[in-house]
Amino acid sequence: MLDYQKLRDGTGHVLAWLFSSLSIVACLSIIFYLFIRGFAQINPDFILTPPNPTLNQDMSGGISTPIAGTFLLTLTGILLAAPWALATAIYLAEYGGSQAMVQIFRLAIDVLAGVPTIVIAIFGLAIFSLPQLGFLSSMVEGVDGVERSFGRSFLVAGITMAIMILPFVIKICEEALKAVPNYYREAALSMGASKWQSIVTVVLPSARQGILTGIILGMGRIIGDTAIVWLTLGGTIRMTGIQPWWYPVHWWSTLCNTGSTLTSYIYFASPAGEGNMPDKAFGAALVLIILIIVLNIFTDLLERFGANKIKGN
Amino acid sequence: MEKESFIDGVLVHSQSSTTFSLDSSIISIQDLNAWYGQTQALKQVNLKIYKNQITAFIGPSGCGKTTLLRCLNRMNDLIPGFDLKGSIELQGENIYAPGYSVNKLRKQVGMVFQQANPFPQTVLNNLKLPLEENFRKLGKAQLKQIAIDKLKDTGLLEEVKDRLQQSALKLSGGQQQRLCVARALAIDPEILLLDEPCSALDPISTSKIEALLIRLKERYSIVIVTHNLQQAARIADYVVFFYQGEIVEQGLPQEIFITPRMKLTSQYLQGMF
Amino acid sequence: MQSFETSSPEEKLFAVRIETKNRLNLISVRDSISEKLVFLLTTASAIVIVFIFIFIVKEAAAVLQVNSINFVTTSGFDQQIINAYNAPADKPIWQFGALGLLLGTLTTTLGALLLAVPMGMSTAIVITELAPVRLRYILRIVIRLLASIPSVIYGLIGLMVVVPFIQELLISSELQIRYIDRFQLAGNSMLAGIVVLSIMIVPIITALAVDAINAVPHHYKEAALALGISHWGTILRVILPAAKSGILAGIILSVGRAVGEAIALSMVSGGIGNIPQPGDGMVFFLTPVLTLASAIVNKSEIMSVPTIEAALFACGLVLLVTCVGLSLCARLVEYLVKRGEGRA
Repeated sequence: MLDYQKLRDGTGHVLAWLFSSLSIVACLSIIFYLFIRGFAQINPDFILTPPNPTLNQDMSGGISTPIAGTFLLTLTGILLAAPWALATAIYLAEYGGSQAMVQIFRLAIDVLAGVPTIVIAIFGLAIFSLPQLGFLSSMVEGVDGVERSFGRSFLVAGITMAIMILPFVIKICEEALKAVPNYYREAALSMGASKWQSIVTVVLPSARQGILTGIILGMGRIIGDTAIVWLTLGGTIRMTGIQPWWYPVHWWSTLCNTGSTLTSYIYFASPAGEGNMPDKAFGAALVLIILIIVLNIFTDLLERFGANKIKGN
Repeated sequence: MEKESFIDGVLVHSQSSTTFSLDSSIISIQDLNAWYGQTQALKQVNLKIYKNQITAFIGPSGCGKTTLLRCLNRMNDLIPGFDLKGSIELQGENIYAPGYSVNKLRKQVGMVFQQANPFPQTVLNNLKLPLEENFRKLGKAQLKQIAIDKLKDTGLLEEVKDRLQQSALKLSGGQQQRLCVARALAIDPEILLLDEPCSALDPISTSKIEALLIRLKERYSIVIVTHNLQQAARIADYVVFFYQGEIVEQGLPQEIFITPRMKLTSQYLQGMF
Repeated sequence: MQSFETSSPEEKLFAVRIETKNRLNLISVRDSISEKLVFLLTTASAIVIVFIFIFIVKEAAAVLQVNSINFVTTSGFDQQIINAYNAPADKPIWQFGALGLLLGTLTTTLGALLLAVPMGMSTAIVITELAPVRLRYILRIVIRLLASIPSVIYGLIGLMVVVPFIQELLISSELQIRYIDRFQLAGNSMLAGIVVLSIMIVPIITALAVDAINAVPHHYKEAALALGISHWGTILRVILPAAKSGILAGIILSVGRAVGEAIALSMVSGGIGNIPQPGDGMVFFLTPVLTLASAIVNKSEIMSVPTIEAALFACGLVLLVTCVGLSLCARLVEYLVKRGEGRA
């Protein structure tokens, strides 16, 4: 008679290795495929010229404005989200006890983390279409003749992105703050520092690696998101502010107008979008994935540096 | 006066090997050396574990007593960088020989850890799980009967009989530790290893476990690591004193505790380190 | 060590103390302002979700009033969108039924789960228990990278690789003609959506399951091994049950991700809200479908029509309610499992 345990253990091992190699191979081949298809596209021209709205793939230009758009949007989003998330994390980790209110705060943030980006995108669209918030984008005349805000611009998308990554960054920052040993705080308080001083002078510097990791991971999520860009940055592939858009005097106009990022460019250029120039899409996808890999390396280094420091102490 | 002789205690027991009231050994350790990476944890250990007796390992922290205990059921295999030379023979077979089944070994050599570690499952499941995994052919009624028997053996049945279907983590610390003993006994080992089983327990729970061990030695050979010298004196039939990875002295408790031969031993007994 | 010398907490605090003595009043004012600001921002973080609810309900209200429960029990969304688009401005059409989208979401999510859960769990077990230490480290980096690949890239690859592959392998022109009355069979289908979605959520399930398994105290594993239980027996009967709450919560969260995935599915799943018929056999999986989330992306260009806008917000509301429900469910499961184990 076959030994049940041996059979189970053997089958278990085989299945675990089989399924896991399947998933790893499937995923890795995606990256390889991307490199192979995208590499042929990458050249200085492709990176440095703006895209051309044409159906002829050879004439369609490069991806300079989508790259610029990605940086611009990421910067806007993270500049808003980082202080906001850090403040929330400070409150939850340092001030919040177990009172009912804090529990409700936590629950609300937890629920926000589960809201799909597409829902956050239409929320952004709804709130920034209010005529009162028109200064963040531009005013247009609606179908019904009533003037409303266009609700699509770098600023709008940046704020919406900030909301999207908020719970995620809060969580990482909170964990970083909680990892600071309590005797640091006690030492500070015992020397007559106020609570706020002890946070600013002792806790935050000690937690800076974790906070930085949270910010970088948050940036990664902004860079990778498409739904919010598609709905709240407008579908245009070029910057629509006053040209040339990079002149410092035009910056505000650029921020208040629409544009594109790498993700929305890929969507646009793929057969699913209107562009239908898959080669360009693969080129842009390769640039995007390289950005993501660089950010990943950053967080990995940060983590290792952090780990070494703890060991060194 | 007795204490004085204790300090200078260099009395040599001339016929130590013959006076042991110990019948036969079940484990024999020869020239054992062990390393964690570069650090040598055990040096030239030679020792016999006797059948149906309680052997106590004593010594300061980091002296290698726990390392040796964990060698006896090969739990050190889990630690990366662990290396070992020499032999440990269980009933004449080297347990570190290639091809020797670790799972079979661990069925013969049960272990109770310093921190009570029942599985986060019901009390009954804690006992049934090792039985189901090791004795596939037992029927449901048999399984339950063995579980109940082992609870009775450890004196736990009366205390938990209404809580068999509750989580084991809801028991008190002492009850959890006795459950761990019962669980180790469930698979019917020949040897029971205990790694400072009472270090986290209150005196009452401790005395319950000690009484349990004295009862259990009729059926099992027991090895216990302890920091508590009184505990060793109360329950041990044979005492081994470790210092910096070496066995300094071994013998009957009255020899070790009253007339230690080595200066190091008497210094330790006086709490000098 | 370096940082300790340059900015030791004690040194800084000594400076702080001197400062405090001199400017106690000013500082306490500054502190209380900072603390109030922090509290205000925290309240803002917590209140965002309420605003999301209010705005989405407000925008969806018109469609919900007209259709009430019929919005999720009747179908024909694509045609209704066309009707609404063509309707004259003074006679708007408010009839919408998103049952097709709901079923599209349900089938793609379930299908993706069926593939991704075994794959993700296996990968997590390999990473935490079976692989040699060096390989574990590499696998963890790979999984983390995969979890951060943007969905649009998964969509692009799905569209360029998976979709043609399905078309080539499973769809003959004969089959296409047979179903031409109901829908056009191309590679864009529920199956393509399932494949892409499952590859997307495998890293998520893996990462969360790895965390859950690593959180299991090492002494449970030691106890099991010391009882002569085999390594696999230990994984199966002790480690996984002890990690159950975290694993379940992770799976529920990944359901949330699958339900809310818009871009990748709008690229590969067909873009038409057909209701898959189980009677079709294999064609059930080849049906082009549309999910709630991808409908919003697909129809976003004609959002300027108020009726369509409201209909899309209604889809968003269904999504929002589902995902909020899932989040709460994940918390509840975690709590219940822990309570059952006596840990909470």
